[in-house]
Amino acid sequence: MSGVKRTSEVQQSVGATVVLVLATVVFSMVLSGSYLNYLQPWLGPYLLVASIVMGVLGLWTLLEAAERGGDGHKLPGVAALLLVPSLLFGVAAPGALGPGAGIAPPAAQPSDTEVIYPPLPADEVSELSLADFSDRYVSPQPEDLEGKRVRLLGFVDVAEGGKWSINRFRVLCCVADAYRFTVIISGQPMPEGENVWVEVEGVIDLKASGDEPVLVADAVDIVNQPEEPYL
Amino acid sequence: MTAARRVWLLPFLSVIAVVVLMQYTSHAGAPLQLRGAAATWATLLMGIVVQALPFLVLGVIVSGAIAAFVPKDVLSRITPSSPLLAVPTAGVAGMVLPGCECASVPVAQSLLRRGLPQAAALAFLLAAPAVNPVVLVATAIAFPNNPVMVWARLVASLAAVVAVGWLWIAVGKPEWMKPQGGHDHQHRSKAETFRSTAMHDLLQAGGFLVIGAAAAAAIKVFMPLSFLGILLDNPWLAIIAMAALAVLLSLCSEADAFVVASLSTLSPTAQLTFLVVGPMVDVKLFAMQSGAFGPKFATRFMPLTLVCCTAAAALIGWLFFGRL
Repeated sequence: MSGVKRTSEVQQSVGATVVLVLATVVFSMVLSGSYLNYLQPWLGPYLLVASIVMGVLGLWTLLEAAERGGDGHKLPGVAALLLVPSLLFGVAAPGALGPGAGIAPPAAQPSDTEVIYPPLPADEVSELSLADFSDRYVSPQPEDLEGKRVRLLGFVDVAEGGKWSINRFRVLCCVADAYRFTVIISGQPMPEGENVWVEVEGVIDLKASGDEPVLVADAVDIVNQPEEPYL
Repeated sequence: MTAARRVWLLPFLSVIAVVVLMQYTSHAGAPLQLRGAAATWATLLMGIVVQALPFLVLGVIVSGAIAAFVPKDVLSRITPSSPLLAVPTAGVAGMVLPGCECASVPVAQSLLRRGLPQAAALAFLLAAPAVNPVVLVATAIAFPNNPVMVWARLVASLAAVVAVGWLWIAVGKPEWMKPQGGHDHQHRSKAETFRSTAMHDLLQAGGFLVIGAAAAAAIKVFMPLSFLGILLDNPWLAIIAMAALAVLLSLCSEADAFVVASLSTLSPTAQLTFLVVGPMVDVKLFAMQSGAFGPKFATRFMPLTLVCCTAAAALIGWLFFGRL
């Protein structure tokens, strides 16, 4: 075997290693559900297929290299960077976007869709997502929310003027397009701790509400982060 | 060491190591605890890379298939010989690949290697993520009250693609692009050509995808984009601000319509600018194009594309919506 050939088959093995490590990480990310910290659930099957295809490509490359030596393709040096997401996930397992992330497009405004929401029941507690609640608040009839008890789920963050808020991100594809919904909470102290998720029950205070609605809470329950952290 | 062992030992040990590491992290907690901006950056980086992977894998599979099954020079023969016709033809052909820019870079690269003229391959590169059916349907859903937006997006994007292609023929120099030789050597079989091309493109485009994702995530975390908000009162400045925002945010073209639809105080033309620029010029794409075609190419081609997209969006917006 010539020296040139030998370098190339080792290069192929290194390239296949990078791809197989990434395939392994992505595959287990889908199985464990932790990909939901980064993406919408509908992308899960595609991610699974992608990881399997990468695995097949990697193994096929190793078989070829062991059998016949190099294929004449040089390993691009930049390929080493594909290890960055794999190692980052292995070492730090970045979680869902949380209080630190203030990502919103500039001058975000409600869309001008003229949706008429059915009124909420007056005599029972309505469980709403933060997006539904915010949409009703910016709809033409925010008065419909007045006096209605609602239960909202989100993570705790500090708000301006010594207040606190509950928040949740809406994600369309991945966290890069995350849009944040915020409801200011009054009437109850802010729960202590880092990355705390709560369910808050209360009634809207339209007079105190500004850009964001204000909820006067009478119950705050600490809960686990939901499996799907994004809306 | 035997050849087989030399090949298998490293991947075998590496995969075991990363599985052990992930098990440790999920049971005993992450050895590296990220906080604040670093945590947000890491989450965004993971999100952008992982979201792009299915599209990238699709792209390298198509790229490998082109290398293996499209005979050399058949592309240059079926392409209209007049470059004035070849550019719009390739642009319309780009509509059939339902992918994002991560898929279109390796595919365009493979088309070039198989002899497609440069301007036509670039028209395909730009058109594929901008106007494929998935993107147009997403746009229709995002703008239920303004169905004209779908047509405006289609027409303005194609106009920008054709303008860039023709201008590139007029002013571009082929030597700006790094040589795309790639396949001067023969492979044993079609299957082997497919495998080696797909693998090479995955490693190359993937590496540059990570650079682009890291940069795009850093911009989102460390650059306050709210200053762009003050530009939105003036219709001309709003168009420029939305073009800049599209470049800096690096959204995927399936999601950008929903994001910009929520900015309802903007004029439709400014919204259109965001939709036309985003899929063709952004931070992530700049990294991937630099990798595939060389930095000399990317630093010339991207500004040209940005100007053409912005101008096409302003013109078509003015024609379709009657105002800037």
